[in-house]
Order: sequence, then structure tokens, then C-alpha cells
Amino acid sequence: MATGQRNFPTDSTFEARKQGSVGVSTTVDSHAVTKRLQSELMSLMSSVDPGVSAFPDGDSLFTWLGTIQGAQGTVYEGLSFKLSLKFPTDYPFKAPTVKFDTPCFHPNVDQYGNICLDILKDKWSAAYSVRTVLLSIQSLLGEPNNDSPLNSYAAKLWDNQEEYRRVLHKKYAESQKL
Amino acid sequence: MPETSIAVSSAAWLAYLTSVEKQLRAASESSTLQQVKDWPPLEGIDVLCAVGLGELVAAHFLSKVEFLLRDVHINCFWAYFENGLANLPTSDLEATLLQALQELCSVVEAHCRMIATLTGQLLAGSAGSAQPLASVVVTLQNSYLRTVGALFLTTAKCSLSDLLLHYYAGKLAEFGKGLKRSRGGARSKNDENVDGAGSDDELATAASFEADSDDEAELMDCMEEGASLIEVFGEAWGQRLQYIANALRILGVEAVSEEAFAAVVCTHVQYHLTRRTQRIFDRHVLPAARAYVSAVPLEFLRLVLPSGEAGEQSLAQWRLRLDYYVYETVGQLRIGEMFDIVVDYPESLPAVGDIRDCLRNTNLHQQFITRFRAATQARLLHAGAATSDIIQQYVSTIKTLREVDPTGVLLEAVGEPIKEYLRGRRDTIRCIVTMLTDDTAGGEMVAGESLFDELGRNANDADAGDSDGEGEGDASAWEAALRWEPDPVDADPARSARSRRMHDIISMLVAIYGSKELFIAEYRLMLADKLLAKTDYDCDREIRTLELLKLRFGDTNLHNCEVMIKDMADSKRIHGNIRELPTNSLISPMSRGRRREPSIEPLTPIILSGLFWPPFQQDAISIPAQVQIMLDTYAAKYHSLKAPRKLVWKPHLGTVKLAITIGDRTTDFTVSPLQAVLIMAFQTVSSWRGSELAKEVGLPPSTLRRRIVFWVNQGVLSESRAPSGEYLYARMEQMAETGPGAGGAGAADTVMDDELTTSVATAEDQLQQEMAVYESFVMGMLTNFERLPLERIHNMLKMFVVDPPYDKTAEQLASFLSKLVAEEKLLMEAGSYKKR
Repeated sequence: MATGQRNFPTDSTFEARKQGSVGVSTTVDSHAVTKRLQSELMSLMSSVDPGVSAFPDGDSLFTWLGTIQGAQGTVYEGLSFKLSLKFPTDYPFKAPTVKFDTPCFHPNVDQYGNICLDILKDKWSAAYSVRTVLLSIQSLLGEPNNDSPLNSYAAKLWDNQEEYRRVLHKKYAESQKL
Repeated sequence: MPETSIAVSSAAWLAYLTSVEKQLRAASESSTLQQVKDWPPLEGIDVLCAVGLGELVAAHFLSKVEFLLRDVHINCFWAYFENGLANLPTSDLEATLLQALQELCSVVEAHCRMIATLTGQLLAGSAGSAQPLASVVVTLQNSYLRTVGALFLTTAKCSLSDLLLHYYAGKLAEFGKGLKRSRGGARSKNDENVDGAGSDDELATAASFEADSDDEAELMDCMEEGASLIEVFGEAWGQRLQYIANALRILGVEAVSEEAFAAVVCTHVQYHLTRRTQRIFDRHVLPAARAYVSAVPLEFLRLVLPSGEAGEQSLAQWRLRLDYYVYETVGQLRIGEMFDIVVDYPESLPAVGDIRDCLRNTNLHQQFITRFRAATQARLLHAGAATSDIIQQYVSTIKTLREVDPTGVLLEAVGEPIKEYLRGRRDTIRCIVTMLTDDTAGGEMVAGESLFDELGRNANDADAGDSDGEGEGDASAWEAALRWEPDPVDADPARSARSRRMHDIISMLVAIYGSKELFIAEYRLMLADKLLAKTDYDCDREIRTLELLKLRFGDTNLHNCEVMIKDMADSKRIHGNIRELPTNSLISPMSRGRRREPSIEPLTPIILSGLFWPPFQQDAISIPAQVQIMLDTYAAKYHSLKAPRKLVWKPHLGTVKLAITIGDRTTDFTVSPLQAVLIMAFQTVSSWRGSELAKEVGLPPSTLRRRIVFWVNQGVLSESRAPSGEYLYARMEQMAETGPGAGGAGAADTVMDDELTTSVATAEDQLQQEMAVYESFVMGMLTNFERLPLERIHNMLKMFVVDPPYDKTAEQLASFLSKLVAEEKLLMEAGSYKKR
């Protein structure tokens, strides 16, 4: 669960170092990961999904920055959220860690930006990609799973869409000011 | 010392003093006593010597004489020049100088003789004594002369060197003029006036300059026999000069005198050479200059320098020095004008020869490089110069420097900045290729003509070089080894001599970019343009160029181009076959239901092997139905002939010949297909709205307007604006008298506009197309990052884009990004890019 999140950046660099010293086969693996991430980037760049985008963050292919626009027809319409994506070295066999960088008022997102989404946890499959993950999160925004909320206040408020919208926009405006 | 000897000594001393006084007084008036040859011996010397006072005597005598000289004689000398020298004409100056020197000299000579006598006495007197004579006695004469020189200079009321400079300059000028006059009576009055102006006159007119040059050329001849000198001036002239120079030597101021006439001679030579050399590139200056130097300044020096063996020796030294001076001066003058010399090449060949000789004999190489580079930088390598001009100048530079310095060291140093600069110009390659392949344009493209010739010539050279390189065995290698020469000292040791000797102009031009690939790519584009513009399959010229290029770059590199040319020949053959094909043999759906076969007569297609041609500009146009039928028919015939191949038309390429009849006048036009389509729309309908016409021909209205202006300018269409602001185009029913086509009496074979010449996508367009791949990446980046500087974008593209790998430079990216900014997709703020 969200509380059990590991601190990924240090772990992954540590692992990478360890693997580098272990042997050739693992470096070949990390090469395969790089290739996979590169091809995902290519397909993401050539696709025209509205409101979803991501790009590697500066130096490494293993951390990306993502952007999600709230889908049309939802209370999130017109809002834009930044996310960070961190890929484990055995990606795509393990799910990437995805967090909201922009504070997001949502039943399934906690105050630290952790997201409760099944495909990022036990339902992960190697067939998923950055693009599908981002699209899933985008649709999660409009269709929260109120049964297992991380933010119970948001979950309770969800039924009152007018009030929800007011609180959401207030919080969003606050976060933009920071 | 005994009493008596003291008395004797003092008596002798007194006697000595009296006799010295007497003799010195006599010497002071020696100008009137020239006849006194031997001075009587001084009294009492032997006695004084005997008591060992010889040294004292010598010292006393010297101080006495020195006192006398300073207070009387030298003052007298300077008194002549109290009024300064500026206002003295040379002849007066000479007279004054002569007299003053004569007086002074006679005194000095008298003194010298006295000293000689005294020295003799002293030597004789002390011969018996045990005490060795002090050096002061032995060197008495020398110390005296030194004293004279020193006094002469230190007590001067005005600078002696100025005085002498003035005098020598006057004399030398007189001498030079006099020599000219000596050529005899064939001179006109005009020339006399010229001489009157004086050779020192800076403002010598052009006319006098011309006269001078002619004179001097002839002067060289007459100087061969030096006798004329005396005839002109008379003996006295030279003697006076000689006397003054000699007197100065006697007075111990030889150094000052030599300095003065050296300066005068150098100034004279410099002035002379400047006048003879500047802006005259079509004549060898050096031989004439050297002849002149040995005729005038050297003869002058012969007079000034002491006669005898020492004089001969220093004259020989002077000859060498002047020779070098000529080389150096001419070299410096020529180097200053090197840029113009290069511009005038090959008319300036004589000047180039001068430079070569100068550089061979001097150490001006470094200066040459610095100054020529500076001139090139200032005059050529700036935004105002056209690329073709720069290339032309570069070619001339190569040719010129090849003459100057066969080792190529200079060229390497001078050419580098030009190459560097050309590399920064976009159209360099295009220009080179044009110049190389285009010799048809005649007059204005003389440059291209020569480059094309160069291509042919070098191909032959390359042949010769190859066979040389392969070597017929050891013999030729041995010969080459014997020919070997070390690199000049100022060569860049980092480069091999071989690379430097690669002087062939084409390779140097191609080497601007370091590789031939770019060059070949550009040639291919150019060739495509040219071939597409042809209507008669005749490409002999192109074949010739290609063959020459193949010799140079190798067959494989030009394979594409070869196929392109072969396409032309194939097209001709296929075209012939298709035309002979009977119409009824067609079983194509196109023509089946039709009663009458559409004529394919007007078509002259070029059938391209798509893979080998450069990418074409995508510019779809909709062809009028009647033409489309022709094209389809042709394609069907092709298919039946060459099945299973099919013909895909590129209707926007090529040219269209039209005959347009307006009123009673018919005009021929050769235009691009697009324009033909535009005008054909008016064949049936006399006027169109801009938007409708755009829809009809399948063009955006803005493009349409740009293209249709051609017809408006030709006076075939008229343009007007509807109240709604829309453009209206109407067919002219009468050819406008003002139209350019009207002047051509109906047969104006108007050449197509410039749009047509770029039917092949230019290298730059291709670059933009390649960059477009990265647009989505840039947009993706900027979606997720608020703002990014250029460098960051560049690095991220390098890091994350692998297929196709990102291989552009930061500059290319910058230009692409600024294009995106212009398209209002991006914002540029404080050095960072941002999404709109």
C-alpha cells in the first residue's frame, strides 16, 4: 500500500551499481530496459493522445516527468497535473512507481501524491506501457474507486460534485501558487 | 733632480710653449698658408723627453689644440649655419658647406701635421731613455681626430645629421634628375616641366608619373655607360660632393655622414619604388628597380664613399644592401596590395612574379601571411560579399599563391580563414557546384567558365598523377626521392607535405567542407533540376560534366547521377517507342469507351527511376481534365509496353510550352506546370474569383495569389478586388501594351519564373523535413518541463532520440526552434523555450 512505498531513486541506483559489478548478463538486461523505454518514448511521441505526455527527466531514462490534463466532462477538466515516473531496473516486469508531483485532491491519491491503482500494484503486466499507465490515471481522475480510498474526505465529498469541484479548484489554485 | 737640469727643463718647456703658440697661430690661418707642408719641429722637445716629460708634452699639446678647436675653429664653422638650413637652396648649402669644411679641414690638417712632427720628435727623444713611451704619445694622432669628431658634434648649433641629410638629399635628387637630362635632346618641353616639379614632389601628377616611368625605363639603357654623369654635371659637381664627404671623413664624423647618406638613399629608393610599384600590376618592377638602383643611388654612393680599396669594398656591401632593400621594399609594397593583385589575376602575373622573387630573397613570409589575411578579412569575408565572389577570389588566391609559393605553405596559412568563412555560408556548395557545372551562361559567368575548364584540366592531371603514383618501379621512386626538398621552416609541421601540395583547385574547393559527400549531394540536386528543365532529352553537356566528376570522385559516388542521366536516354527511347505504338493495340480501361484516342503528341515525358532521384517538393496540383487524359493515355501505353511497370506522373515537375492568343496576337511562353494549369482555367471561363480558382487547381489561396501574379505581370490576366475584399482575376481581351510580353512582338519566349528552378527540394528544405521528426519530441519535452534552454533540448534529444539517431548540430536545432517560434508553436523567453 501507499504507506509502504519504498524510496526508489536511491534503491534503483544502488541496484544498478550492484548489477554492474555482478556480471555481463545483467548489463545486457539493463540494455534491454533502456531499449524498451526508448521505444516507449518513440511511440508516446508519435501518438496523439490528448492530455497525456511524458518525457525522461534530464539525465536518465529511468525517471520521467509526466503531464496529465483532466479529461473533458469531469470535474478535473482544465486542470493539469505533473507526475513523476520511476522505472525499476527490471522494468517492464515490475511496475513503475508513479506519483503526483502536483498535489491532487482525489479519493485514490494521498497527500504525498501516491496513487492507489491496481495496475500499478498487483495487476501490473509487462504489456502495459507508459502511455497506458498515464491514460489509466487520467481516467482514474474522473472515475475514482471510492471503496478503498486513500483520501476519505475526498471520497465522501465525491457524491456532491458541486462541492467537490469547489474544494478541488481551491486546492488546485493553492498548489499552483506555491 | 739636479738644480741645473730643472733650469734646463723649464727653459725647454718655455721654448716649447712659445713655439707651440706660434705654430698654432700659423695653423689657424693655414687657409692662407696652404703651402706649408712640413711643420718645423717644436723646440725643446728633446730636452723635455730626456727628463721624461714626453707624456706631459703630448697631453699638454692635445688639450691646447682641443681648446683652440672648440673656442675658435668649430665656432667659425657653425657660424656659417647660424640662419638654419631650411631656407638654404642646395647649391647655396653646398657652397657654404664647402667653404666651412675647407676652413675647418685645413686647420685640422695643419694640426695633424703638427702632431705628426711632434710624435716623431717625441719618439726620437725618448728613444734613448729607458722609460717606455706611454700610449698617449703613440696614439696622439688618433686621440686628436677623435677629439675633433666629438667636439664637432657636441658643440653643434644645429644638428649635423639634419644638415647632411638636407645636403645629400638635395644632391641625390639633383643627380637623379641630371641623369635623366643626360639622355640628350630628345626631350620635350613638357618633360622639362616635369623635371622642374622635382622628384621630391609628392604631388607629382599622373602625367608626370607616366613621363617619369618612360624616362626611367630609357634611363636604364643610358646608365649602362656611366660616363654620361660627368658630361652632365661636369667634373666639379662630383668633386664637390666627393670633397665634402672626404672632409667629413677627415673630421671624424664619418658615422654621421654615412648615416645621413644611407637614410637619404633609402628614402630615395623607397620613394622611387613606391611610385613605380603602386597599383601597377601588369609590369615586372624588380628588374627595372634593381637596374635603377645600380644606376642612380649606387653611382651616387660611389661618389660619396671613399675611393680606393676600402671604398670598393663598402660599395660592394652597399650594392648587396641596396639589392636587399629593393627586394624588401617592393615585397612590402606588393604585399600591401596583395588583395588587389589577386583580384586582377591573371593580368597581375608580373606583380605575382615580383612577389615570388621578393619572398625568395627576404624573410617577409610572416608579414605576407599576416597582412594578406587581414586584407582578406577586411575586404572579403563579411556579409556584404556574395558567396560566388568569395569563391572566385578564393580560386584566384589559390592560383596566385601557387605561382608565389609552390610548396603551398602560404596558401595553407592564407586560405584557412577563407575556408572557415565559406563553411559558415549556406549557399557555398550550391555556388561551387553552379560554377563548376555551368558554363553556358556566357559573359557574366566567366568565373564558372574557368572553373569548368579547371575541372577538365584537372581530370587530365589526375590521370597523369595516378600513373605517376602507381610508379613504374624503383626508377620513378628514385627520381621522386631525388626531387625531394625539405619543407620551408615556417610550414606547419602538423600537416604532411603531401597534403599541402594538393593544389588542384577543385579538390581544394571540395575540401572546404572536408568531404565530398555534401558536394556530390548538391550536384545531384542541381543535376536533377537541370535535367527536369530539359524538353529535348539532350544532355551531352551533363554527361561530359559527369564523366569529369567521375574521374575525380569515383564511379560509385556518382552512381545516382549516372542513373539519372541514363534515365534521360531511356526516356528518349521509350518515348520514341510509345509514339510509334499503334493506338488500337491499347487495351486499357482509360481509352476503351472512347471513340477518339487523345493525342499524346504534345508530351515529352522524362521517366525517372524514383529511387535514384533526390526527393521532390510535394506540390500537388490538379491537372485539367484534357491534359489528364493525355497523361493517362500515355501511362497506359507505357504500361502495355513495359508491363508490369506502371507510370506514375509527377505533374508538377517539368515545363510547359504554351501559345497564348490574346486578341490578334499570339505569344509563346515556357512556364511551370502550375502556371500552365492556372492559365488553362481561363481557357473556358473568362474570369474567376480567387477562392474558386484556388479550389479548382487545388492550391491554398495565398499560394495561388503568389503564382498568378506571374500572369498578371505578363499582361495576360488582370487582377481586381471585389467589394468583399476578394481577388478577381479576368482574362485580358487585348494584350496590355505595358506588359513585358508586348514588347517582344508576339514571339517573346518568356523564360519561366524562379519558382520552377527549385522543383527539387533544396538541401535546406530537406534539413527542415528531417528536423520535423523531432518536433513531437520537443513538444513532448516542453509539455512536461515548464521551460527549457536550447542546450538542454539539444542534449535531451541527443540522449533520448535513437531511431533515427539525432545527429543535428545545436545551430540547426536553434534554427528549427526559431521556425517553430515563428509558427507560433513555441515561445522564446529569457533564453528558454516554452510551449504556447
